[in-house]
Amino acid sequence: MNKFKKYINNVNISRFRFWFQIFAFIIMVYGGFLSIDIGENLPTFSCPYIDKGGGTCFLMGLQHRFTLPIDQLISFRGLAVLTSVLFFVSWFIFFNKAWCGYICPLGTLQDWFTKLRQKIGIRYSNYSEAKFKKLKKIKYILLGLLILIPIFMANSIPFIGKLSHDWAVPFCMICPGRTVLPLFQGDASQLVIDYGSKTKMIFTVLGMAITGMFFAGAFFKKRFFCFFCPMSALQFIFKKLGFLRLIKDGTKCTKCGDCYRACDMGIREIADDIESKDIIKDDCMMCFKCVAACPEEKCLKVNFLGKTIYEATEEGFYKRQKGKK
Amino acid sequence: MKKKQKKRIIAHGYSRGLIIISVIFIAPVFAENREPKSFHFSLTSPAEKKQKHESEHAAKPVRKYWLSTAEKDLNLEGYLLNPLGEEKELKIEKKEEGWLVSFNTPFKDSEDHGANNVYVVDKKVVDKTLYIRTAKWITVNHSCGWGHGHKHDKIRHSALSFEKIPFEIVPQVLWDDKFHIRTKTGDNLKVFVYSYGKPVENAKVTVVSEKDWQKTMITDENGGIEFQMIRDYYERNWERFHTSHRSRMIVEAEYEINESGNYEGELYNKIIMSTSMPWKYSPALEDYASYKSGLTVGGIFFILTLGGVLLYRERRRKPFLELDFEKKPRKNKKNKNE
Amino acid sequence: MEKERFEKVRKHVRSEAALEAGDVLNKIKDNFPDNPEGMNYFYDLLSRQFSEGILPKNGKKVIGTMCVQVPDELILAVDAIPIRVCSGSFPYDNAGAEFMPAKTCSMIKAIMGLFSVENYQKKFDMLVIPTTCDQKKKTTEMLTDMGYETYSLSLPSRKDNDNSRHYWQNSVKEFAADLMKKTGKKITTSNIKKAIDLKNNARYEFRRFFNLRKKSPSVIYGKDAFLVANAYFVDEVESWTSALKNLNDELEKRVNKNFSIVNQKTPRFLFTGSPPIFPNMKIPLLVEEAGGLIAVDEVCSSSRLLYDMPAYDEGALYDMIPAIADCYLKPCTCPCFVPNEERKDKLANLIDLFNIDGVIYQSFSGCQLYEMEQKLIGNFLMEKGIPMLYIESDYSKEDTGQLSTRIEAFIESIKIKKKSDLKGKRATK
Ligand code: SF4
Ligand code: SF4
Ligand code: SF4
Ligand code: SF4
Repeated sequence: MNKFKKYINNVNISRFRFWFQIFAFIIMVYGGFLSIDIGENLPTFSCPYIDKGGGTCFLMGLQHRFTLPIDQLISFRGLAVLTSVLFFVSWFIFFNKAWCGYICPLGTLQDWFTKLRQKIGIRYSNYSEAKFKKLKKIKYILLGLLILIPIFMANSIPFIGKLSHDWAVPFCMICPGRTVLPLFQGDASQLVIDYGSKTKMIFTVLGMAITGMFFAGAFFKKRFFCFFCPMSALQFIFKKLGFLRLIKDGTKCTKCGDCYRACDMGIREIADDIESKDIIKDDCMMCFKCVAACPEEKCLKVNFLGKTIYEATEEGFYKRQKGKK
Repeated sequence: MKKKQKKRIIAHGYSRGLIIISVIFIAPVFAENREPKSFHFSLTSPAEKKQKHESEHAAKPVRKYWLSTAEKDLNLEGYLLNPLGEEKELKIEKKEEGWLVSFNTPFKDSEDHGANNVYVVDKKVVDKTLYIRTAKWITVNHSCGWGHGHKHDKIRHSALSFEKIPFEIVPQVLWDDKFHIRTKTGDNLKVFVYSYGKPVENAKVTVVSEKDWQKTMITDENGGIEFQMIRDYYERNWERFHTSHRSRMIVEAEYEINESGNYEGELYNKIIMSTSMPWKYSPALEDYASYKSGLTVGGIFFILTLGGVLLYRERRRKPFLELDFEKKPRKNKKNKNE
Repeated sequence: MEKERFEKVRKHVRSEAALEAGDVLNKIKDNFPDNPEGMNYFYDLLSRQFSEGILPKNGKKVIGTMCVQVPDELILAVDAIPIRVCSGSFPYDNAGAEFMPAKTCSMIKAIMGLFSVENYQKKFDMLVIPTTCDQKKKTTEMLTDMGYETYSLSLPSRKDNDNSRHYWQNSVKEFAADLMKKTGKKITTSNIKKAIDLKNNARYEFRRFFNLRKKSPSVIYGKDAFLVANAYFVDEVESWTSALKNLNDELEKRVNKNFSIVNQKTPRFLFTGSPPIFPNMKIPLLVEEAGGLIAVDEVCSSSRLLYDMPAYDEGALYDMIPAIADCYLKPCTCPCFVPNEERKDKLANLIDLFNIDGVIYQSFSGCQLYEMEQKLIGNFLMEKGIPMLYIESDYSKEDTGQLSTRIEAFIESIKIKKKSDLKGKRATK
């Protein structure tokens, strides 16, 4: 048992993650061909715009479901919204935010861009801390909008009236998941500007602009899009329920910052916060690179239902650093 | 290899266009035309002029359909086939405005989640001819709120035929696996004509577009025909063009059999069967969307971001002399530690 | 004339220093039982340092460093030899006292004495001094004035925000560029990777050593542990690493055999404050001769020297150099930083890990930073209920008598406390 534990702790988590992500990508993007359907309300960007995908992104359903008059929303049909959230949460709690670090096809794609950049040897970009703090808020704004806009499609706003049907699934319209992921099935039909109406046109222009920025941004900045992702904001609300946890023992931490270095999301608290035990922050994608980069015995840990499944060890750290190319 | 059929079949021209012609030329001779006209289902009563379309996204507690005919003396039998191929009850009412059929679809993901076939059959003998008229409507009872759990459930999203129906049209493709209608202007629609669940060769199929353009075809040995759904929706002005517009195409079929018999005491020596199935389709993406603009916008923002990052990096190197080991050092670089 | 006088002085100071070193080494070897075989390498090395000099003769460039914050991976990467020149020698301290202000810290005086007495201008290609405390800063200028090539490595005073981190990373990047210019060698991904691995091997062994010291009762004296780290100042990394590996293997055997050099009752101390540098082993020796044991320390000449390890994410210079920089700044608990809460956290952690009974805090008289921080640490430890002995001292031997009485009294009090604690524990059992 001990040997096995040691083996696990010495594991090169990045390599494991790389293969796991490929596996998850195939399921999420090509699952339909294999008659795999993980389900609906997935807390990850398994976009239904992919014709034969392996699951369905929760945000799509969420935006549809909120297109309801207020009185219905608070009556029995609101219950449907609630059940879907329950489904979402029950998917979510298993892996917690590791849905982002290990499963989300859009996240995986961004990691591939990073790999490419590394191969070419181009320096990564970083946000300064002040800028970073500001940018982080965008995802909460997007989350708010993607609920409010559907509500205002079914309820009239004073002076303006109801929003037209063209406002449907507003976030999906600007989500790179819609434009980029179907490309993997050879479907480029989402790359158009829709002149069907003004609203649609503006949305699709925005969507394509974001797609363009996504490609360039994700190349330079690790996980460029994830900073703005409302899914990540939504997940964070339920992080307390997750079975999978990232635990930090602050007394063992030397604030060496190795974990912060490794963190693709640039989460400074992972190194500098020695008070919190449950150290998951809203941007965290639970990739556990930080655990692999921590040289202090048992300082950072990955727990599943209270059981430690992976933890930082001196030996593991040393082996991993030595094995770097 | 074509199998020759033994029965003689007399092709009988029957369509709206021909009625008009016959009315003009033949009407004076036979003062009264007693031939029953075919009918179809519609969301509006015959009195209303406006057309409506059913959404495949919104669930309704009760589904109601009107027959397009104003005839009062129909002898209707109704049939309802649920998505799993089971027969269910259909209610038929005679109203002031015409004939109304209805059935309940409770708001939940149950056995009627999917495509339900609604039929009426009318039989009557006129001038020694037995007219069997049927109408069919396919309704998709679906709400995205129920989820798409039946994605890989083949029977739920394939088009079914019903062996109790004397004459019906069955489309080849139906909804996509999430029950969303996908047929667009320019798409080919393939339909089959069935009689009591068996394909009918040499039936005459006529498709009539919204603005009454029509085309007539004869079915092959599998009972199938295929046609392109032509664009029949034009707006002068961009503002008024709606991508959500649904055009209607009514598919009708007719078939004549030389056969004598007795229907409820009345003798006949010929059977004429007719059926109809309304179909809807939306404007094609090509009518209102452009790849060129999409790729241009995407490209511009890609280049802007790329350029922005590179420019920013270049500028950072100047004032602060940020060192970049991948680049050759600049000339005239001042060094503070010298 | 002048030159001759100079030569005379140099000879005199050198022989005195060698004498002092020999003396201390003898004490270290002879006054204690059960010295591990593996220590002989380090004893020899340090005695050679003072009899034969330390400078390598293989024609490689030599770069002198002061303070722990100099990233010597970079120096190793350009194929130069880093030598830490911080000195603990009283004769050199004396020599420095002649021209340095009276209230200067002994270590600074000793360094200045060393560089004024010895003609090292030609021997060191560069002296790298981080801007840690004020005295080190001015030392840089004085050494430049004496004709040394110096490099002031700019260190921020805060480390708790991202700006200072970037500032330091830029300092280190600049340093790397200047090193390349100085040595004419390019830093490449492969040679820096080699240097990191080299130093990480040393760090790994050092961690092993550190962990072996956790065993209670202990398998090695604190005085030996200080020497091991001190040897790293001047030794080649590879041979040092393999010597430490031998020592570790030996200690591991001791642990397995349950062999220890002291008994359960020996009080275990944590040593912190100004760094004891060989041959200034005055306080550690006094403590251990009086029956205490320095189980662990938190000084920049020993445990802090090789504890922290860099982790880079992408194997390219743009990430490796900042990663190296980070590991010298962020976890550093030097009192030149403000705020320095990490030092308290670290001490608390060490007290837990090493079963510590008391803390010995040394500060060189004249070292304002350690003197002032003593108050803060003292209060912190008082709250935790850990007794602390504060000793202000310098390199001279004058105060030995007085200090040993204080130390003995402190140890006695702890022994009594420990006994009652043990009894109490047994009683509750
Ligand atoms: S935050 Fe990133 S990884 Fe997570 S769902 Fe959003 S795009 Fe995917
Ligand atoms: S477009 Fe984006 S938000 Fe919408 S369903 Fe696809 S992945 Fe989810
Ligand atoms: S790597 Fe470990 S020890 Fe270092 S700052 Fe992070 S958690 Fe603390
Ligand atoms: S904090 Fe750790 S687990 Fe979270 S994103 Fe950063 S490196 Fe990954």
